[in-house]
Amino acid sequence: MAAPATQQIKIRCNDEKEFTVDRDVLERSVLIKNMLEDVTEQQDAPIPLPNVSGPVMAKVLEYCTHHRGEPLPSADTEQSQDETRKRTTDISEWDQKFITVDQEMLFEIILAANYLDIKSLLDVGCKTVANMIKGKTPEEIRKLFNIVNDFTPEEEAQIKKENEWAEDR
Amino acid sequence: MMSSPQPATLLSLPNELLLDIFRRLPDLENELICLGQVCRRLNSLCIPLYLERQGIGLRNLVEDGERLNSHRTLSEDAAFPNMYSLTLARHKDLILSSPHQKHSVFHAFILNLHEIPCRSSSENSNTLPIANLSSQFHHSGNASASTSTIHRVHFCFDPSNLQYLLRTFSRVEYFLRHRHIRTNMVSLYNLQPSGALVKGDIVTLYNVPGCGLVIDRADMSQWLRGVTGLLDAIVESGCRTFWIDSGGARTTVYYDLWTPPIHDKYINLISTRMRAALPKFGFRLPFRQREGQRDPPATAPTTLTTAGPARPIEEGGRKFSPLRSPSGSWTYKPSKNKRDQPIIAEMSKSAQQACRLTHLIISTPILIVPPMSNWLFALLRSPTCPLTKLAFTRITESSTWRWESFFESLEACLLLREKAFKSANGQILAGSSVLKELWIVRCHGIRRGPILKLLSSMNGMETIKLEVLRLETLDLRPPEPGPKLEIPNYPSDPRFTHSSILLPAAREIKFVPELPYLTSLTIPSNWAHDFPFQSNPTHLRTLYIQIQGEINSSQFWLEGGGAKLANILPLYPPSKGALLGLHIRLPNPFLPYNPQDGKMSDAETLLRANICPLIRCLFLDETSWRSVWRTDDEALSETWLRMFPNLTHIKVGIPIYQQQDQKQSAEIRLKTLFGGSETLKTVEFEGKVYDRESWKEAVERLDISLPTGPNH
Repeated sequence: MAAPATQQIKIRCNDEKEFTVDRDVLERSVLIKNMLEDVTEQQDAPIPLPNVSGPVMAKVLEYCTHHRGEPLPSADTEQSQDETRKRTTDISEWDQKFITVDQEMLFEIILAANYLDIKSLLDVGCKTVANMIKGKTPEEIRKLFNIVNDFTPEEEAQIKKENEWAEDR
Repeated sequence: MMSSPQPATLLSLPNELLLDIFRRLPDLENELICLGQVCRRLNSLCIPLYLERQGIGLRNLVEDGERLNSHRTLSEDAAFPNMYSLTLARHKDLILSSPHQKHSVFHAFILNLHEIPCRSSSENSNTLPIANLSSQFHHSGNASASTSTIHRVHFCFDPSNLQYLLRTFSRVEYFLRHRHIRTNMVSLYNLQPSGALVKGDIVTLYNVPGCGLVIDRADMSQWLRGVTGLLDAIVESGCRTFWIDSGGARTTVYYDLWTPPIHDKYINLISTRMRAALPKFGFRLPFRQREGQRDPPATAPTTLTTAGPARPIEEGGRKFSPLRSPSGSWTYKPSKNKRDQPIIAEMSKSAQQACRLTHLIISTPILIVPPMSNWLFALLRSPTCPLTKLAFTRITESSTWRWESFFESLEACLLLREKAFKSANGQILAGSSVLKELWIVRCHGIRRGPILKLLSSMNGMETIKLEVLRLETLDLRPPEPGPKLEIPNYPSDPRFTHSSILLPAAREIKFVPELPYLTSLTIPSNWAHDFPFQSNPTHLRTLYIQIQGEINSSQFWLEGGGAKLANILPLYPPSKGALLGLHIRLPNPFLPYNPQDGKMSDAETLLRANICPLIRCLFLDETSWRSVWRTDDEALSETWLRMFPNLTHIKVGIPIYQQQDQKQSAEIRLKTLFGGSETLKTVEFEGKVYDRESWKEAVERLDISLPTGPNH
């Protein structure tokens, strides 16, 4: 963290789109933070991010800019918060508004957050999907996420039979 | 990936992210039921997640370091502190095969083990409504997994949840039956509540080979109260193979791998909880102590003669409580406390009738020492019991108990059973099941006479394996011939076991064994002269003669291995084709057995006796392996092979505990096998049989160059 907060870093997405962003914004991503720490000399060459497209990166940067300055979860706190984080589906108002996007963008954001290792963004994305699944029937889930039912009729019957006991409880 | 032209959907997320999402569902258990019905992929994710939510953490303990899955370990406050770990053990093809196949098998296990209710009240209690394994294997995209062999799977459990354990047994059995896997499946109780699997903490090990249930290492060194009825329940449950082991003997390498400290309290805990759990799974429970069946011993005192404080006393194995009479004197009445009741170790009649046991392996004296031996004798006498194999292993004679008396009782029981199978003309009825296999292995203190006497009346035997340690304890005199006795009436009381009365009633003493059905015989070398068969052993196909055994080396060198072999082998007429296999246990057959006077080496002795051409199959155990095949001298190995010009099969016994470098070395040495012999057709190594072609392929995989032998 020797570099000044105002340092500008260039990144290049897989569609060749480039962004110039403040270092402290980019350091919300553990992946990029580690990359920057590994590089001792200042480099002008943009950091390539082959798994993220421009529009998704723009959205991710919007999130990072909004949350700049917030403490990053440390290794110690991460574990203790892990359980709490998982058991709630509450999302803050700004995050909720931010994540109100189409499904394709939502999953792209989740994948990007996973790749860039931005825990809080991944958290928001996963909570959103969990909220979408909550309380739905199998058919509704299929319809919502455009999933093809690939069970054979026999398999479906078998699974239903297996689940009878759970419904009896 | 992001660069993919396909739009991202829920199913584009990797499994760990999907699991992460599902873990956030508030009512996970119900949601999982819905998710599991959406599609195959989500179904495959839901079951492990459900297990995890139930507190069944699966922690991979595979020793090659490759993780099988990403399941989290169980949480501390889980409602089901059940299964701590699942180990796919390190050896054999499961682990050596591709990770994908390994995953498939593992996956099938997880599916099979998921928690479902056992409907013991329903008629279909044996049909388990579990996931369709075939479809899951198919789903995993690896058809070959269905033919893979699992050699050992370890489940570690907390004994505090026996319900889960027993259900798991059902699933394991189901799995085995449906996968056609012949396997050694081991489940371990881990008695440490914290759940850490520590080798030293493994106390009890239940073994489920095929459809059997084996209690292994259950520390049956004492017949504790909980054991009564437990064994019956296991037998009644349809168990086919029953292996009762003790934690006492730790001399074998296997024990070194899993050295269990044994504590009675744990065993009590297990048996008590198992007893409590069994009714829920449809087991009939003959657990009630049979109170009142035995009267207090006649010799029990009824009045107190001393004026001191009255204390409970024990007489004849029964406890008596003091009772003060109005006159001031003390009388004793049998204690009504259940703990003070004598432990009755008898097999229930229902267990005898329901018994489906075919293999009984006993590695603890508990079922052999009276009065607990009653259970075993009741089983052996029962004509409805289809027992065909009886094995005693690692049992040592004690000062209070002698093998000889046990063999007499055993003989009586077997004869009575055999008698039940015999028709009017004395022939054993076709299809009836009499004892066909007897193993007495590593049992200390057995003398030759009693064993031969026992065998003399068991002429239906097909396999006899006698491996006796400490040969110096053997008596040297042959058994005395006795009078030929008629068989009188069957004793009217079926519980009657005393051998001194049963034996004259049941035994027809013959001291030259006639074993017309014998196909396999294992004997120590100095017993070999006791087996000159009266009638030619026409069925004998395998003869194992322990030349070296456990005799110390100095004794061996003085007496000589090959010379002994040369003396023994002509006893088995080669013209009848009797001798086909030879089990070699020679440290190094090329060394003169007495270096001081330069006598012949074993190899020379064998050659001179002209025995080698008779031998088709050669069994090399680890001792011979180390000396002959791990030598750097390749020529020596090849010469050794050429000694047997008609050899067609070699089986090499490399113990599972061999170090990796030793194994590698063994494999390297093995490459010469086919090069060294022109007639060799198959080599069995580590349980796999290779022909010339497949061996060549295997060697290529090992990146070892083949030697230029006569066939290459």
